[in-house]
Amino acid sequence: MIEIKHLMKSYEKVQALNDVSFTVKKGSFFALLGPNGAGKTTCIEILSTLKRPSSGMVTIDGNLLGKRDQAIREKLGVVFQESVLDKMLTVRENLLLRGRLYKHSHDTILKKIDRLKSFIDIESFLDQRIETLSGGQRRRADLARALLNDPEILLLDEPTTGLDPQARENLWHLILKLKESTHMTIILTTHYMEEVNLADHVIILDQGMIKAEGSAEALRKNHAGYVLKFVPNDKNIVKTLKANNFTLRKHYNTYQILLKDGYEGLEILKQYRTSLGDFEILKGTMDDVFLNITGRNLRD
Amino acid sequence: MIDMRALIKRHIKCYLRDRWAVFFSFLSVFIILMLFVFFLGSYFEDISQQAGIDEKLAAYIVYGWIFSGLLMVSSVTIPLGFLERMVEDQTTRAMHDFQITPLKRYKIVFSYLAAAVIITLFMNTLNLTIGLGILYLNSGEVVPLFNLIQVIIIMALIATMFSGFFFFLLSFFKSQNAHGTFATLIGTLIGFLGGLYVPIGALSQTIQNIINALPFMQAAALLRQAYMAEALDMAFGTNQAARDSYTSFYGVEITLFNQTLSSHVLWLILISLTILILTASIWRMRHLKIA
Repeated sequence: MIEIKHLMKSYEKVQALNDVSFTVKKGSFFALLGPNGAGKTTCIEILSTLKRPSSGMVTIDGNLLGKRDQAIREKLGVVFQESVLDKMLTVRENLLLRGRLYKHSHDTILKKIDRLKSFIDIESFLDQRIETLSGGQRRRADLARALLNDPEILLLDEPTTGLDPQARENLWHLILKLKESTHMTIILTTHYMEEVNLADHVIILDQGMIKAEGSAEALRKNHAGYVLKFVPNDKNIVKTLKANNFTLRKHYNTYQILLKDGYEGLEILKQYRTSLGDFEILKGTMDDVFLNITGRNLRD
Repeated sequence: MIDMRALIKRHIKCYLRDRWAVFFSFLSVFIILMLFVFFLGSYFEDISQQAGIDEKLAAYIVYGWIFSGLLMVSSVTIPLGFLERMVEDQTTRAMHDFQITPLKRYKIVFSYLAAAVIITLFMNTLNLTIGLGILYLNSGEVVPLFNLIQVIIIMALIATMFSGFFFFLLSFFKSQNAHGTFATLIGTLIGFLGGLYVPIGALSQTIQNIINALPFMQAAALLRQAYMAEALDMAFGTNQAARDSYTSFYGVEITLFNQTLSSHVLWLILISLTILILTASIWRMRHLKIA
C-alpha cells in the first residue's frame, strides 16, 4: 500500500504540489489525471525517490520515503515521460546493463529478457539500436526495462504521450494485459480522459491540488451526469434556455446543456422540440468531469 | 561492484559508439599534428640542424617533443569530451533511470569519473604507441624502457588529475551547450597552454609565468623530460649550457619567477593537485543531493 500524506513540493516560486494526500491499495490500478503543470510528474518523481518533497510523508509498503529509499527502489518499475534508454545501444544491451544495476547475474537477466520479449513483443527489434526504433517500439522497450526487476509497483508517467493512435492502442493493450495477469500496483499519469476509464481509482489534479477523486464511473456520475447536445433551429432558443436557468456551452455550431440526469433531457426535448435541430443525449465524459470541476478544458 | 562495473562499461560503450564525440575529443590533437606535418615540424627540424645535430637525432628530439606534448593535450581533451556523457545524462534525465535502481548514488557519480580515467588511459596508450611508431620510423630510435615506464606513470597521474578536474567542474554544468562552448575554448587554448603552438621561450616573461603556473604546462614538461631524456643526452652530451638553453626555450624545463622547477617539484605539484582535485570531487559526489 502507498500512503501519501499532506505532500507539498515547491520550486522557488512555483507550488508544484499543495497538500496532496491519497492512498493507493496494493494491486490496484490508480490514475492521476490533470493538464500539463498539474503536478503529476512531480508526484511520480517523488514516489520514485528522485525528488524529495518539501514537506509531507510518503510510505510505500511500510517503507518511509527518505529513510528506506533503497528498499523502495527494489519494488519500483518506472516508465518515464520520455524514453531514457541509451540510443546508441541495442534494446538487449540496454536491458542487460539495467539488469546488472539490480545486481542480477547475467544468466538471470537473459532469462528475464526471454520472458519479457514475448510478453511485450520486443523480439523483432531486440538487437536494434534504440535510435532506430519507432515511438511505439521505444515505449515497449521502456516498459520491458521497467519490468526487468519484477516490480511490485509500476509507475507510468504519461506513457502514451506523443504516440500515434495505433501505438497508443498497442501500449494500452499491454498495460491492461499487465493489470489482468499480475498483482502489480499500477500508477498512471495522463492527460487523456479515455485512459482513466478502466482505473480503479482516479485523482484529478490541477495546479498541484486534488480537485476530485473516485472511480471513473463515480466521477462521471457526480460531476458530469448527462449532456444534451443540439444544433439550434431557432436563434432565440439559446436565449430562452438561458433565461430558464439552463447551463449552456457552445462548441462550434453545437450547444451542450448539462443535465442532472437523462430524464431532464427528455423533458427539454418535449418542451423545445421544434426549436432544436439535430440532438443527442450523452452520458458525460471525463472531459466533462474535468471541465465541471476545474472550470476549464484539460488541454487548455 | 558488479553494478558499478556495468555502469562504467555502459559509459565507455556509449562514448565509443558516438564517433563524433570521439573525433572531437581528438580534434586538438589532429590540429596540432597537421600543423607540425605541414609547417611547424620542418621549422623545428631546421632549428635543430642549425644547432649542429644530425637529421635522425633532430627527428628524435622534434618528434619526442611533439608526441610528449600531444600526450598532455589528449589527457585534457579526452576526459573533457568523454564527460559530455555525464552532462548529457543529467540534462536528458537519463541519469534518473540509474537513480531509481538500488545502486547507491555515489557509485553512479563515481562511475563517470572512473570511466573518464579508464578511457583516457586507453586512448592515450594508443596515442603513445602510434607516436612511438612514428618516432621510430623517422629517427630509428626507441625510447628506453625506464623512460617509457615513467611516461606511462605520468600519463596515469595526469589522466586522473584532469578527469577529476573536469568531473568536478562539469558537475556544475546544466546544459550541453555550456559544455560544448567550454570544450571548444579549452581545445583552442590547450595548444598554447602546453607550449605547442608557440614554444614557451618565445613568449614574454609575464605570459611564461602565467602558463608555467598552470598544470597543463607542468604536465607537458614532466612528460617531455621523461620522453626526451635520452634524445637530449645524445644531442647535447655534456654541453649543459646548450641543453639548458634548448630545454627552457621548448618548455622541457620550466621556470616560474626565475626559479627552475625541478622534476621532483613538478611531481610534487601534480601529485598534490591530483589529491586536492580528487578530494574536491569526492566532496562534490557527496553533495550531489537529490532536489
